[in-house]
Amino acid sequence: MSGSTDTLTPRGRTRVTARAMTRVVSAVAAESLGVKPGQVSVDLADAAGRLDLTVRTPIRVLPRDHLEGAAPANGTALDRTERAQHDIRGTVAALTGADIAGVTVRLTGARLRLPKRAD
Amino acid sequence: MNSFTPTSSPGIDTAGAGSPAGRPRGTTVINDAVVAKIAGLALRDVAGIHAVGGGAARAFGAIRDAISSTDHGQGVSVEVDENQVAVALSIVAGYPVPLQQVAEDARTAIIEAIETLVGLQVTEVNVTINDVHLPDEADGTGKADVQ
Repeated sequence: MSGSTDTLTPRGRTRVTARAMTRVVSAVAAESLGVKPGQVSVDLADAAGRLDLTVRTPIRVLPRDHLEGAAPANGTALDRTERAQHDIRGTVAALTGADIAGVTVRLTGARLRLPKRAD
Repeated sequence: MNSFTPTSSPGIDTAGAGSPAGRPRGTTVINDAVVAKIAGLALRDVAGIHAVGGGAARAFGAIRDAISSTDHGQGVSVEVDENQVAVALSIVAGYPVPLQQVAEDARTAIIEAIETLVGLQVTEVNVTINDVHLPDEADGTGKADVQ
């Protein structure tokens, strides 16, 4: 199957299917951007034997009236996306052992969500 | 391919003990299903495995579990040739666990179980991580996006 990665070990091959890879990428991206894994769509492509990831996802943002100051404490959407992109590359590589060529993150929308009330 | 020193097989001696000419005095046949079952049971103690088997095997397995005749060899297929065995394993891993590590742990567990319990030499264990189970998928879709 395209998008699956094979790793040779001394006593057998380990294959991570495209489905498993997609699942991990969407979970990491979702965690990083504060959305649910189901809202993230992932494309796997081959880049000369390495794995090229394209992630389409909404981002979770705070409503304007909840912003204190010019930008949220954890940075602008762009900053957060860039951080997510690095997270995805690092965490996916660590979890799956895949050799990642590049990660493209496309924001498809914004989800408004209030911060959880502190009890 | 892989080569390694064959392990001694306690209990079972496929070469025939005490034959002076070194010729076998009969063969021991261990059914493939037995080997698969032992491999499957060895996976119980491996951390990071959510389930064993692909989609169809697991759906069928759920039915078997319901009538309490769990198939421990589910997701494991073995190919025995003389006294060597190649194993193919299909699993669903948990999240977030390092997949290569889970695969390696599963491989080690299977090799150890088959080589010590069955006495067959394991040439390779090919592991396929079929899917990854995300914890929040289980708690339904109840959580609203916008509160």
